[in-house]
Amino acid sequence: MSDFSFASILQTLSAGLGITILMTVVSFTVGTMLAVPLALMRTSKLRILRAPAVAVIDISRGIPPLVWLLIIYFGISPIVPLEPLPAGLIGLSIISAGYLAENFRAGIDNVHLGQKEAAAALGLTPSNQFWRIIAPQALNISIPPSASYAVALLKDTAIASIIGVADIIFLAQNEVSRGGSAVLVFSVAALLYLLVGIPLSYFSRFVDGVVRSKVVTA
Amino acid sequence: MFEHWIEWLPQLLNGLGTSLLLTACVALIGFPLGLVLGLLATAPSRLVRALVIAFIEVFRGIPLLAVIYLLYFGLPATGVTMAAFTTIVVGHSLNLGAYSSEVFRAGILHVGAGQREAAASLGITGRHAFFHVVLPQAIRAIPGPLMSMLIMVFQSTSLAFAIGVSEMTSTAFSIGSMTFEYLNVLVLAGLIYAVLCIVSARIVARVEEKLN
Repeated sequence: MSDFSFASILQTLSAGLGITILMTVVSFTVGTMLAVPLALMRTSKLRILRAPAVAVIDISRGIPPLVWLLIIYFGISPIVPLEPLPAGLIGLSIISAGYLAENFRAGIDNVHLGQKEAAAALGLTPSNQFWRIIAPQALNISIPPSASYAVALLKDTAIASIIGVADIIFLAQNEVSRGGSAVLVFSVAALLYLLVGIPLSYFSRFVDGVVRSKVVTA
Repeated sequence: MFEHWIEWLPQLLNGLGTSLLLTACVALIGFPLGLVLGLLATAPSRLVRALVIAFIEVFRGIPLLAVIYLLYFGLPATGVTMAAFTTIVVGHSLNLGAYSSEVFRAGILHVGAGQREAAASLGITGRHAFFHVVLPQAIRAIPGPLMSMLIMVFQSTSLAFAIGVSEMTSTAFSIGSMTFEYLNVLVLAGLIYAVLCIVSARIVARVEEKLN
């Protein structure tokens, strides 16, 4: 006889919490690594660099996350075999690359023009103007929206359960199909997301407050 | 490859119709809900404010998919059974209500105390001051973010796939499962979503520029 008490459900679903956090951390990290070059290309004066970056960012954000995961898991895995977890990680990384690139682009565009002029007036080379003057301020501006994106990403990882990644939601569905009460099981699942998400969003608001006091924007 | 696209297009557009209908229903319920929540979040009563803020935090903190499953699989146990379409509308509306309430609240706070005082000095108070002075100005400050939210809602109606509403994603998937051309048909559906989202995002940006 299975045990469907609150404690036992909590214990079962906690196993999925690790996968949920893993997906959030990995896709945020990979997304950031892809987003930096994309944002640099996107803000370039050269059209040949800018146009492909615009296209990649638009497509990554324009296709719904679930459709991305279905394309990768059902569309690509017959060609290149992929387990659900790697497929989910690839999809979520592509999606976060697009969102984060847009955040970084906004950060670069919102550094006050006077900063660049002042750097040029001091005789800094164009590369030093960017890396030493613009980039550090752009980073400060883009940290708060990126932190709140991390919270959104945490919740977006739930859709990976649809392609079979054993995260919180997937295990919750399992519990329900084994006979657990759906109200109780999904409430416990919701509780786990809140347990991680609420501190994360308070942290992102705290970061926002700290950074806001430090930058001059356009 | 492309001859299939022409063959599949009518079915996908049919599914797209359902996606758009879902989006419209969610906007019609979710935005008014967000307005009410936004107003209550600025209410004088501390208890009301605390309850509303708890509601908003909970719905902003839980994945939409969890809300949908809770409604679809959980509610029948309490005697309330909803069709899949209704479940999607209700789940999304609760979510949109929570998210948009912040925009409405910020819009209301954005109308400064000076405006209320000016209204009061003209003898316009209470309900009249709110509906004729504060609200019209608040509403002008918020169309941009609300339209962006609507684009997000349109994208996330694809979650209806999870409980079998035959909108565009489900339609594409079932074509895929019959023809084994998953990649082909899902890419087509993805591009239809992307084109609509990109075009509407550009329009929103244009409108925002005009309003500023």
